[in-house]
Amino acid sequence: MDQALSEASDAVLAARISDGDDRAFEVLARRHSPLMRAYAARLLGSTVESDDVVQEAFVLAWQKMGDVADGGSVKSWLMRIVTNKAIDRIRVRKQHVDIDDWDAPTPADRSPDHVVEVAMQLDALSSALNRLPELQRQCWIMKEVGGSSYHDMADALELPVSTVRGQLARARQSLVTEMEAWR
Amino acid sequence: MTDPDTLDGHTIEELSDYLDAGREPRDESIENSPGCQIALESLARLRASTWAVLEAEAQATPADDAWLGRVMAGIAREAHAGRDIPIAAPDERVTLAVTEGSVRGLVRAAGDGVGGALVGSCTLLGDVTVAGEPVDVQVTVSVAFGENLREVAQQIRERIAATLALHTELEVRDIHVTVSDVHPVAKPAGGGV
Amino acid sequence: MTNDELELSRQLTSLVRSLPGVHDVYTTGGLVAAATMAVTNLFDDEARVAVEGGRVSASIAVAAGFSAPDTLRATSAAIAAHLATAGRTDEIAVTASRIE
Repeated sequence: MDQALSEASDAVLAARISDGDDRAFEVLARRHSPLMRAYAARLLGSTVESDDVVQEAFVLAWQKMGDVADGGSVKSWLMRIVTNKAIDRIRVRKQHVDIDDWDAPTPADRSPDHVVEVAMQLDALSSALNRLPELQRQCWIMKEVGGSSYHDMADALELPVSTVRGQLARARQSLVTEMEAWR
Repeated sequence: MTDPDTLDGHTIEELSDYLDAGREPRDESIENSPGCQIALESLARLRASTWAVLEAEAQATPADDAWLGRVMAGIAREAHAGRDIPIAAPDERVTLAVTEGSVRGLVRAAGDGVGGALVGSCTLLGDVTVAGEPVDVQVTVSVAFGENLREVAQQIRERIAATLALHTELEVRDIHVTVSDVHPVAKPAGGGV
Repeated sequence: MTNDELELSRQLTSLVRSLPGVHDVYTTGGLVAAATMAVTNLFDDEARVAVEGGRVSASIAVAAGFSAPDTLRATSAAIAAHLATAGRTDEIAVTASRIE
């Protein structure tokens, strides 16, 4: 039966978790936490903090699983919770940083260097992502993977929408150039 | 003298917004422009590749049992305990109960594995906190492909009735088993470890 | 909880744990009570049965192969017997939050 549970759809797991099944919750956490952690690490640049963020996200997900209307959208729902928790951390950091220094390269101690790279093309894109200035990378990942809107990001990061657009335009420019070099 | 920063009059940013909107409402000037089409493909590929980078990283990372252990230790299991369902007590100084959460666990245990089934949701309808009040049980299950749905549902119904009779004093009126899903048969686990 | 109550809690927890139909004993009463107990007995994993305001509350997991009602009754009887030896007549509440 444990094998059946580990292969159950997200929808079945979500229903069981809402009813209090902690084994189903563990299956869901095993299934989605690797991606959530990779996502959070790109946003926050450090795996210690990103691991905490994803842990908090899953603890909240246990409580709020009943709120998920469509069991099939559990993954994107988890992604949104992780985004919100990561943004809370980013906001705290920004209080200590000169917020005009948007184009500074990522500080070495916050470089997402625990990357396990698989394909050469992905290697190049992965490195390009790592080399982006921090705010550009955060905006890019939040939009393209997290599915955040310009408005949501601007609100969350307490920046004008025009700034968010500008950061995305610069990130897009760098990444497209990198990706096209592989064609 | 076309603006070098535009493709047939459209900036990259416009095209990115157009892609985000799912290419709706359809813009003929974009759709009919080869330059724009190429740029849209490039943007879509970039988004897919960004996802692919993260998915590849995720798949290549070994499971972190220590981290998972911390998550499991951090969840509040009583969050889904639900209502207290009374059990007759020897005297008025004593209150005995089983939680709604524990009963849902019984229902899952009764249904899981019958014809390869997996119970989804379980709902107890009626006031379970009042002894003797009639209660209906509503269960959704995902059944293994190829099984006789009616037979499986009937067997599950019987097993649920039996476990509730053993562990509760609920006045169970109806047990509705709804097959919400069919899933492929789980492949047999690899040789004993 | 007072020190006497804490000691009684430890005794009752150990007693309930030793019953054949009991798989485990949990801290009771939901998040607020658990937080209160956590503050008063921070690292005391052994005092999970709540003793407060003239009421003893236990939350148990029923072991596989045992009927929940029988186990609940046996648990309350064991608690009542122990309280009697201490000359106490607290109310008793036992809840099964998990049935294996």
